[in-house]
Amino acid sequence: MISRFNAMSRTAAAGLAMTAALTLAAGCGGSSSKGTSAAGSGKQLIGLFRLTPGAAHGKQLTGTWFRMLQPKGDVATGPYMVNGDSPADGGRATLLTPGTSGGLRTNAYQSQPAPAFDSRGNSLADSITKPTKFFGVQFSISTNEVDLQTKTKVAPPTVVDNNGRLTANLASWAASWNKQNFNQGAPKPVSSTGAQAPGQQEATRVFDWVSHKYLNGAPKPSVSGTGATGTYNASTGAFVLQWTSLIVDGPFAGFTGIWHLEGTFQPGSAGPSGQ
Amino acid sequence: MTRRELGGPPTLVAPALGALDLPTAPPVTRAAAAAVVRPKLPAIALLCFGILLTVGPIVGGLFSKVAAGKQMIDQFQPYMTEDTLARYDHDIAILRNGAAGVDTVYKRQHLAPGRFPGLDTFRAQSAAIDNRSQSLLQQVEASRADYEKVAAIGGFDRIPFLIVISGAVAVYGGCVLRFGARRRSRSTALLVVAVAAAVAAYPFISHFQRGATAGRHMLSGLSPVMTATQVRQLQEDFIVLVTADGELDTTFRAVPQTGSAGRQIHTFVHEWPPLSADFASLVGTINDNLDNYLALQDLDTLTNGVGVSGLESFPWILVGIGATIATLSLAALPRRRKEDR
Repeated sequence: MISRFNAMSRTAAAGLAMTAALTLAAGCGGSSSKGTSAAGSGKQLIGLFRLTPGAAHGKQLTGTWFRMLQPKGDVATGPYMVNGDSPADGGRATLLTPGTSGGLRTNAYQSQPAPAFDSRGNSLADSITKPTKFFGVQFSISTNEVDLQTKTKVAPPTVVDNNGRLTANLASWAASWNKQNFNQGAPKPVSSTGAQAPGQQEATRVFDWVSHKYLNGAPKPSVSGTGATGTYNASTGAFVLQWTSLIVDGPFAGFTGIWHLEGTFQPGSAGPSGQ
Repeated sequence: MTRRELGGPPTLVAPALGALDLPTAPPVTRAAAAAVVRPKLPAIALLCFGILLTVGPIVGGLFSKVAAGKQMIDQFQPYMTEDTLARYDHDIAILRNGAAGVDTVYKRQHLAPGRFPGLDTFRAQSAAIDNRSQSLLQQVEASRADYEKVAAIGGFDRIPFLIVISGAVAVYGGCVLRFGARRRSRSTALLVVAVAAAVAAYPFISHFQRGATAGRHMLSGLSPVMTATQVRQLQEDFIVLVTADGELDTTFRAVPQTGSAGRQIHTFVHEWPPLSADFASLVGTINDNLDNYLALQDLDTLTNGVGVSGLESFPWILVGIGATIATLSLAALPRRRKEDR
């Protein structure tokens, strides 16, 4: 239990450090040019990460795709869930195509619509990626201010370029499938769905406030783990972002999502939150 | 004698009175005030018991355990209705019929193993999956009556507050009865007795007494369901089913599927989205409540040391708390010494 706590503390600290770095980047950076702002030693990329549709050439995958790793599997070798609806790599990968926005916006949310699903459980979120068939039901992606699964308030997606190396906070990245929501972000939001005694939430809020104001206590981390990483070519705008995200809680607890986004960064102001 | 002056009122003129020689009045005597004692022991016991009641639930994690139990009760609510259980029963029948349909087509078309690996696995495991699903459903269904009694307990998650408040009132009562102004003794004791009565009456007003026994039965009935192993097994079954559905909906379509077998397979594929949604939500609810279940089980094993169920004895513990507080506060009331009465 103690080692688990320590591990959690470490991951929380790592996540906190990353979030702090990104927040600092977001907060302190003056805008240097359209779509970028100085972020500590890197530049924050603000705009649209336009996605390239996924494609498969044998086992070789390009563009934007996703795999679902079975519990206790290995990220590189699997076993992966076989999506009968996907032709890529024998169903072991699912190819994604850009949605109505063309891809992922940073510094803004592309929230889940209401209703989120049709009567047969197909996801209706179509801003980032087009709903894609996964085990007979269409799934899709959204980024939400309050994470749909953990109910934790999370930052909008941010991506920082450090001389061609990207680090990203995609804690708000959520997959919706068959009337279920799964956080698939990196870092992971800390769950706010645990059992609470009546008044506990308010008491905790007061304690946190007092602790922060008078006891110099660090604010409770809302994410844990590391963010997404990738590469960026500033001259062409070509980018790659990838990360893994363990599903915590829910029917697929223990499964891991492996995400690979490829495309071109299009600088711009942060889009409006929502679709 | 009266002397009247011109135009003025008459004036009485009397000789001066002689000095009176009165005897000294005897002193007024009153009965001596009766000595009042403030029973030390009951007041101190009330104070200590109050501290125990205030601190115990917090230190013992009673708040979180009860909240966890309440969350589990709330989250299982959608699955504990007759309609939902009938729908799950229907889902299992679709899976069973789908497996029979696949079997028939395999035999009719002389399909060799290996051509559809996902369906091969499904054929091999469908009977076991069917058994497991039915058994799971039966266990949930068998716990429904007990679940309803537990869910009917009013303010289940407020119980720790009730104990802590009664403890705080007992501490206050102990202090006043031992150290406070004597004139406040009676009203304070009355307050403590009122709170004690509320605590003792709560199990009967809230149906806690009935619900606690049902809770113990529910815990025992759901024990095979609420395990990480069960969740893992359900996830493995799910992998078999989704893989089978994937093949049925894609490559297996090329295989002729006629008659009732074809209809069974079609129903399986067509009903897969709602069926898998039912399956996923139940597995998710079981998984997300494993810790809550353990917390509730912890409550039940709290009194294992004395050989009784924690849940079943909980109402009587509340009655005991109420009775003890009331007795101690009454015993701590200031009273006259016996020999003076």
